[in-house]
Amino acid sequence: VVRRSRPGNIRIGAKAPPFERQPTAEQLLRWTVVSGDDNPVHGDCAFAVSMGLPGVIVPGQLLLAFLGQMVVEWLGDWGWLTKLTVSYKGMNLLGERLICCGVVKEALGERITLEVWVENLRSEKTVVGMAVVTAFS
Amino acid sequence: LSVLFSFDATLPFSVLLIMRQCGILFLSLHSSYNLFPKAMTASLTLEDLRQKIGHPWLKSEHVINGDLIRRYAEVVGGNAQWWNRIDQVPPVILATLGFEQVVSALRKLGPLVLHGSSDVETSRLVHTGETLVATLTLISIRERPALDNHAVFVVIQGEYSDYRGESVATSRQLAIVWPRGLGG
Repeated sequence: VVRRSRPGNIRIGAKAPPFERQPTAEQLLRWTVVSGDDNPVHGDCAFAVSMGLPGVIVPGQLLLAFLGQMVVEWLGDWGWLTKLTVSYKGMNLLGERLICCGVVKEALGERITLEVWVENLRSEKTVVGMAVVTAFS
Repeated sequence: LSVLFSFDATLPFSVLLIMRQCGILFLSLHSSYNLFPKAMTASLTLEDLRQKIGHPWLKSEHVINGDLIRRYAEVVGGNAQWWNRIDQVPPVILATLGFEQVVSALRKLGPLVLHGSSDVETSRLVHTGETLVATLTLISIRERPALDNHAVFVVIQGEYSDYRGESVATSRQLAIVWPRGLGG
């Protein structure tokens, strides 16, 4: 296990590199296996449309996982992901290109808080929230 | 059940796809079992749910094995090695533990169930190989319109404890149920 000290140059406003994803049907099916959630709105287009949705919806927890991955790739080896909290403001459809973004809002001691969100190509924020990481001491 | 779990962990994706297309419901990779099995077999009404507010509703035990982490990383993409380097089970995996039972139960209230919000917080690093007990408690139920249709807002709190019974993480998730879909 590799763990490094927190770098000294974490500053408010620093941006995490964007993490882009374009969920496929295979990815959503694999997520079903990982999460156990076989809700048909995430895999059955006919069902989703019959429910009044525009198509297959990307699962919220998978979007949460994308945001978590974006944070840890920015984080490197000097800390661990402690908290993720988000609200789903819109729906993301299968095949839609998504960009996960994050910016440092607070750095108090070992605890760093980032504002995180998922936006689509129309720059609409469909998921908004925050992530907290804790630096290894 | 253990055979099914074993299949899930070892079958190639193409076979899983065929199982899915054939309507064979496969179980998650969490080597889990429901400690309250009757909770999932009985029918469920809104009034039933209201009776459960504040009480542990669904409880299940899960072994967080390396295969689950590997598959998680494959789906999410990016640098899959990160979780192994730090030896942290991704917090989002904790938020999924047992939650499929919530969605499954809520689908008895209405066919359309979506996430409204998710919150997961760990109090320590959770390591691969740990066995966790997930206890999900119904916190509140509200009925109000959403997306121009009647909807039920259900808040679920999760508590995840290790073999010593010590809490390692908590979650709070909002599920929204549309009893008649979004069709009007």
